Amino acid sequence: MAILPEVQSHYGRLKLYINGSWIDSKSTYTQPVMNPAKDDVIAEVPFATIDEVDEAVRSAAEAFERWRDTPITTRAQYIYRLKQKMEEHFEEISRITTQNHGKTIDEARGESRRLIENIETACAIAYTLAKGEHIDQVASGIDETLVREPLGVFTVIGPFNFPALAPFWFIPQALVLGCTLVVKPSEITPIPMMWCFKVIDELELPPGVVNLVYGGREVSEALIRHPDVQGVAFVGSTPTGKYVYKLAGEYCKRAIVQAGAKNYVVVTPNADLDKAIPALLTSFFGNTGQRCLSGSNLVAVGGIYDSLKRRFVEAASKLKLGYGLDESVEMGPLVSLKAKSRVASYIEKGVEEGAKLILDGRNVHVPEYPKGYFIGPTVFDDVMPDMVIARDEIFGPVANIIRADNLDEAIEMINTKTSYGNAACIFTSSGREAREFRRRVKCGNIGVNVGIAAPMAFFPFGGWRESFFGILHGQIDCVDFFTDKKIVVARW
Amino acid sequence: MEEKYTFSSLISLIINIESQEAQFYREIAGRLENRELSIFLLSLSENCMRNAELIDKRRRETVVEMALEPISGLNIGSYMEKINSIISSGEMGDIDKAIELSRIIEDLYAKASSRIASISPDTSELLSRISRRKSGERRRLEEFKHAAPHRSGNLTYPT
Repeated sequence: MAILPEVQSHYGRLKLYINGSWIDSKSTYTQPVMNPAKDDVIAEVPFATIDEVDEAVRSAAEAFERWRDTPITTRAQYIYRLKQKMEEHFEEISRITTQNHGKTIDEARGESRRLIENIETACAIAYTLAKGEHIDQVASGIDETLVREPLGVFTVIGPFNFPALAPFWFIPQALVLGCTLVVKPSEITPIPMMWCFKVIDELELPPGVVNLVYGGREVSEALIRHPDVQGVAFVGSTPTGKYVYKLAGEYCKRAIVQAGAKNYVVVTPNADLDKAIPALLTSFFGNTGQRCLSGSNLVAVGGIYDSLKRRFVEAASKLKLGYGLDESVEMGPLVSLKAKSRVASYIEKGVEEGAKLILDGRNVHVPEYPKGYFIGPTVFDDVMPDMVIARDEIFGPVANIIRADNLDEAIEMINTKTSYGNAACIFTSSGREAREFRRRVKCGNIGVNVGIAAPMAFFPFGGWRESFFGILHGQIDCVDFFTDKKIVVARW
Repeated sequence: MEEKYTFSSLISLIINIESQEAQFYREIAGRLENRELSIFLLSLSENCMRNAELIDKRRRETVVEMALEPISGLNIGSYMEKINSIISSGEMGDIDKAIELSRIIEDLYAKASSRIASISPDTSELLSRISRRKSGERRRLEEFKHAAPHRSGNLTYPT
């Protein structure tokens, strides 16, 4: 099958987007940006200077005063046009995501589609959730009104694994509600967001309403600490997320922190394996296991163990690896060489701990892409929930098969053997089992006969325990994050 | 080894089939003396090109990312063999080829539609609709074939 053409083979030295203009960073520090299927450099990303961060925030702060006064109907029209523009550029953004991240083109298109769903949800927010409340005559001659108002400048710090989508859990919502933004994508996968900003630039928003900077820890800290930034929306790992949350607290900033995961997927003897197996492949190996909703621990309850293990391993062993722009490829590389080493070291650890390695993805060879960061589907059997491989977030295509005698034992593992609480899934044809599972597991995103429990944009993106810090979540939930209420008691 | 496809690769294949079908109809339309049939075949060719565009647009617009599961059990290889064999056949008349080609593609699309329903419900619905439309077009071709002895001019050319 032919490979879909890349949008560009190289994207040059990426520019910042500040105050409505593309700017060459004065920074002397740049990092190469890679195509992980080929180990090719496809761009250089400069880490913004502290002055440039300040410039971005100040331009957002100045723009805020005008943007908040722009009628919401006008703001909504920009968001409608954003949806249209994103549809026009859908395929480019998808291919660039594949090229920089490594995910398959189907996964990238799916990501782009969910990005657009968030824009559509923001359009709906403008006419509904942005409203306030009013009660006439709460006391004699006195009326009481609740008004929702935007708070100012926010920063959005994105992850590497959904480089286009994750910031869009927040961007269109913030804009339609009247806030302004400084966005910092991952320095590993900055190109998709850069391209999204090219699309945003076509909207001709007032200068300063949205800004884009690149960098690592120092830039993130400068953004969070900046006196003009009201809050931070962060998506990333739990260790970094905890740090961001503490720093935000120290500087009295609002924070949404969607963090890491170690998700259990439970298969009961009532499951329909014909339907479950393809879903399990997506759960454990989709996005090469690099997602906070990926399955990590596959719990076989009771007698389902033998057939589940046999069929799962057989199906996993047949997944086709390669460059995601080849439409026939089912799994791409890991995002970086460092990620590949990290996953490989966890596989070694699993072997050391005594788990049985029944499918080893370490020595996979993809002839057309010999330098790619590939690790094939990997499956451990005889895993105990206290093993490191069962507790740590590996963020790669590694599935641990754990046995449970019954559903109660499986639920107990989920609630006590991991401190994460992002997602949990059950495969069963029993409504009673599904309800029991849904009610008792301490996780925020629950899948029933679905291996990736991804909420649509008009639901919050859940997360409990150490998978989430804050009160309000991403996607539609962030209305109360970007605004606050004034309660007006009036007498005329 | 069991044949399997990703959603993208299956849809790209189907888009290709539409293009092949469009070209086939254009070619035979150019050979026929029956003007009414010729015009009808050209309209089928245009329909195929429109289908290809619609399918491509729909597959971009409506992928349910959480349900991207491998697609198997369609036996696409066998369908493609039949399609290619019909198009290149020297034994069948053009109208018979057109009828048989349409029948095979309708069947493939009906099966593919049910396989992709969870991945992209809208694309699934579109394929199902195209399959039904092709069934209607095939019946019209059959009417042309049966009406042929009563009409002037050759309906089919030996190839």
